[in-house]
Amino acid sequence: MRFAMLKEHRAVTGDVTAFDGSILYLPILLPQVSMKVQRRSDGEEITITIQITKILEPSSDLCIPFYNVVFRRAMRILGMKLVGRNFYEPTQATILHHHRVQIWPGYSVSIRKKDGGLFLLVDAIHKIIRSDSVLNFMHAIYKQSLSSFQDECIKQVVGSTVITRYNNRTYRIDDIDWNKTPRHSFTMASGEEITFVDYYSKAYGITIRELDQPLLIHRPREKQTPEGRVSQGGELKVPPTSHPGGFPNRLLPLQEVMREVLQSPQQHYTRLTSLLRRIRDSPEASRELMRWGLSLDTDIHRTQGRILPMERINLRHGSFIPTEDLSWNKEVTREASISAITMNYWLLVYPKRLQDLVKDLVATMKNVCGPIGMHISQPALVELKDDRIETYIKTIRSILGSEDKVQLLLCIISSNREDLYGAIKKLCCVQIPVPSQVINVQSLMGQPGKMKSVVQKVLLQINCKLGGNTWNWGLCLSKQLMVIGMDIYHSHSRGTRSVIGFVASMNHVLTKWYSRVVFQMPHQEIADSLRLCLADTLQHFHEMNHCLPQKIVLYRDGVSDSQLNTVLKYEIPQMQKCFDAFENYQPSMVVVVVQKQISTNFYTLTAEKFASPPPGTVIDHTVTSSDWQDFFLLAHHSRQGCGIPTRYVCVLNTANLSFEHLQRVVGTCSLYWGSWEGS
Amino acid sequence: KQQTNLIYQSIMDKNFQEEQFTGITKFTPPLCKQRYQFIKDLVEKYKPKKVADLGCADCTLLWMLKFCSCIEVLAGLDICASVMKEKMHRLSPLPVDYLQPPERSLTVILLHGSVAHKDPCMLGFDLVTCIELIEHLEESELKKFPEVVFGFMAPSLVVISTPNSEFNPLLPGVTLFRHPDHKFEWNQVQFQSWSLEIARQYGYSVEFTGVGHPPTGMENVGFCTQIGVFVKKYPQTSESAQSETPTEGVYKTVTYDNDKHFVFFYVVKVFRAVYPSLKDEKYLQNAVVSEVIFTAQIIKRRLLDRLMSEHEEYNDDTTERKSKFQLLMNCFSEDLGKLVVEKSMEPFVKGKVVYIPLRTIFSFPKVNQLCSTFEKLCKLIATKVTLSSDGSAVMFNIEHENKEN
Repeated sequence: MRFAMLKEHRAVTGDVTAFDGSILYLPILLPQVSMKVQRRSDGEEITITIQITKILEPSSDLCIPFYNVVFRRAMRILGMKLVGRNFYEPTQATILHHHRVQIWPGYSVSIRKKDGGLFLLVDAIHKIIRSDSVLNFMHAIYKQSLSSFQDECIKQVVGSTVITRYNNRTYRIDDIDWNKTPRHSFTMASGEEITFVDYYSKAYGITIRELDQPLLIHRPREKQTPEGRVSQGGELKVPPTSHPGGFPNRLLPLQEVMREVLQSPQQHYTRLTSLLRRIRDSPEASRELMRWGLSLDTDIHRTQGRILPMERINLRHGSFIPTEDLSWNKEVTREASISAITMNYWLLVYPKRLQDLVKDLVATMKNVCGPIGMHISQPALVELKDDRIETYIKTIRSILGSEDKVQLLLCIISSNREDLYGAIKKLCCVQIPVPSQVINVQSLMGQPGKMKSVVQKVLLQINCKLGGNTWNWGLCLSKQLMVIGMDIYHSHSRGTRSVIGFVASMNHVLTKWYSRVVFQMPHQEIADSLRLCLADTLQHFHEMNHCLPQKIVLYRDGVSDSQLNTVLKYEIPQMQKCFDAFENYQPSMVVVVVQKQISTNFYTLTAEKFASPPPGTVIDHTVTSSDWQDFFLLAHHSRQGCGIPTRYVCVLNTANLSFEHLQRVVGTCSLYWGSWEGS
Repeated sequence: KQQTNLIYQSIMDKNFQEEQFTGITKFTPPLCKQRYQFIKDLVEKYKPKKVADLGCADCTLLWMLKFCSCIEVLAGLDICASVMKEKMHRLSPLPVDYLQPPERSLTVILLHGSVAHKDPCMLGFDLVTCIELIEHLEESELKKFPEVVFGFMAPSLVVISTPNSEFNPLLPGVTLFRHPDHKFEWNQVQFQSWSLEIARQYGYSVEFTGVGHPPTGMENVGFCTQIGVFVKKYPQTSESAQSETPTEGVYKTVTYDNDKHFVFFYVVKVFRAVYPSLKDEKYLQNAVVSEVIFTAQIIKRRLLDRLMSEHEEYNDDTTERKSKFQLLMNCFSEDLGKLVVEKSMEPFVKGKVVYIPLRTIFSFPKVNQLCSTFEKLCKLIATKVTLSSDGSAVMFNIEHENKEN
């Protein structure tokens, strides 16, 4: 009623209004006005008084949501389709017929306030979507594997995201209800009982033909209200006539998709500017923006970054400065590592048909281990009669069960089989702890020199796994420094507990680590029980070094902007509390939140062409947040695609580490061997 | 670049509440939904291809009708552009519509204009609906209305609904009219005589019905909403007028917000959405290519499975078996190859390539249905699928396939 009455006064307020029921936002200044209106319901005369309460700055936080609404409207005018939070263009789809998959180009857009003012953040993205409905997909699975049909369906469908056919909503599938069909009924918000068939026919005019299909279950996250639609005990059920959109990674026909999706910096730039041009060229879209006084630059924002100095890398006898692309293959494979482990007793497990290849492998290993400074004895060879998972697991288990001096288990597998890899790792990491290394045989075949270079890298990796030290950095890290990494893994399927991974360095060269795993209730991002975890870690550090670390640097992964405050107000105090458990212990602490999946791309302009920036590029101004101390760092050399920087938000710094020093520490740490591209 | 944005606080001097009907008459489902459902049922019954909703307001009826699979053109006309535009994006195709486009084409058009003017845009419809429209018309407009709808548009089916004033005493809070914008509200006799006169004049038959039943014992009051369904008596009299499709593109796109620019146009197109369908060559091609590859993959798998099982040797050595299989395939193609090619319907293996004749693929019902003739199939997939040199068969590389598994 209020909205309708106000709308009748467009002559006074102008066409451009935003009204939330009590607050009216206008782009123009009005004198105080009173207006008489007749209320429609009973004809009574109502007086509307409009008085000014505040003039908002253009970049006021209150305005940002408006700008986003307005911009979304403009995107729609351009014919973009909203899926989830992003816009796509299905008319421009690339179709991979062999996989029955479509790739839609699109944009993720948002207007945000940064240190340098208001910015439109755009990323050129893609949506990979199956052309078939879930139901068709299930039919296909049914034809292939009759016996394990339900298991296979759960494996392939649960965890993916579906888009409904009728109202364009996206749901994550958490489970499949095999016992229910669309003929079952549910209770609507009004309390009325209705079958799914009737509901879809009444609400959308859709006739569900296949009445025996199972129902997909979506469990809304706790923070979202179920909105009482098709909800049933907090569960939302969708018939599989919907289309799967997001894929669990394992199901992607990766190579082919990557070919379509990878964009060079130049291509990426072209897509961004083409969006800007399209908005400019569409009178309707630009008018929509102009109504609220928004206008866009004609080009992307260009700013100056810095490149961190390259740190020196130390080996046992010498040191060198890495080249620009950060590949120091040559140096590390020719010179001795700082400390190398001798492999006296190790197992080599392989299927029988690969016996010839294994002979070559062992010979190559003996060849290349010398220069690195490693010594490798003849392995105990374990030949398997076939390459089934059970054969691997049974054999490995029986050998490890009787032997306890095994230093390393090296497994050769015949193809890229994730289930086999998973099974071996599970056995070796959880059930019978032993360092393990799995090599896919395909990576050893090919050109003649390939085996040698792969073996070199694998050996360096093995050395690290066994506690050796390949190289370290010239950057002086304090002897009493502890680096902690922390992340949380949420399982998508079946409301299982989340897992917190926690690793802490145990020596100053960062080669020895202590790790803990803690379980947590579903979708609870902020870690409880941190206090105990850190106390244990410090205890352990003390046992190894006979002192406690005076500086602690914590890297916290997987925290969104909205959760930063929780980290600061809840997690950090929890951890600091555990310092009390030790006498007179007040270490300084730096907490850095690491955000990897941010839609920010950097490119450098070299000779009129866009290219990936060199590793070590840092930007700590203009595009940074005005609320937090943050910077963007591109630590690695990107061979394909655009340089996607990592954002580091420093939420706590009691160590008085200067910003530049912090950037160098972060830059160095992110080049630790595990993340070195060569490995 | 930024204009300053201001916040205003609006203060209304009365405690206001949504109007509430508390009396005896409350309809479930709400009356407006019943009216729309009435139209939907009618569409299901008569299966019109082109439907126009005059006075479409916020396009709710159009949105409901877009799910009806018989409709190919859906048009809405309203005098108020801003009301139409408010929710018009609901009429755009959803992203999912592009995944498996249906056979039927669908175009949704919104027109800004008056029902009192003849405009070629409004020609060629099978069904015209005027839901709660006529009571909003000024006397002069109401006079022109029959000539525009029945004389000029002349669809085979017209539905007109309007309030029944005899029902008003049963509606609490209704003093004069149900809505302040109503220019009149008719009783049953008034509406029926007006309708009968139009029907007589333009050669239609009319039947009266309605939605919103009166309470028991008061049946003579009639429906809350009265509806007249007009059916053209001689539907195919003027063939030329019928075949005329809505003429699009005759009118220049003008800034529709600014009235002075289109004083010469009666009707201005505000919105147009073309749904993806197999009528569009591009989507047809996608669908055919997809189906051809899918079918070919099934045939290939069957063929390979058969070959494997026919010559399976109980030898555990996989490499040996593989080479034997290779050998087998080679001889298969050499010995039997030519013979099979003669037949031209059998898939066959030659070297590391499986050949699946297009004729075989064409015989699958889904492919057949999509492209009706074999020539069309060949034309559609020509550049999209790897074909043998003479273009008669789809080629698949087996090696490539093995790696994938």
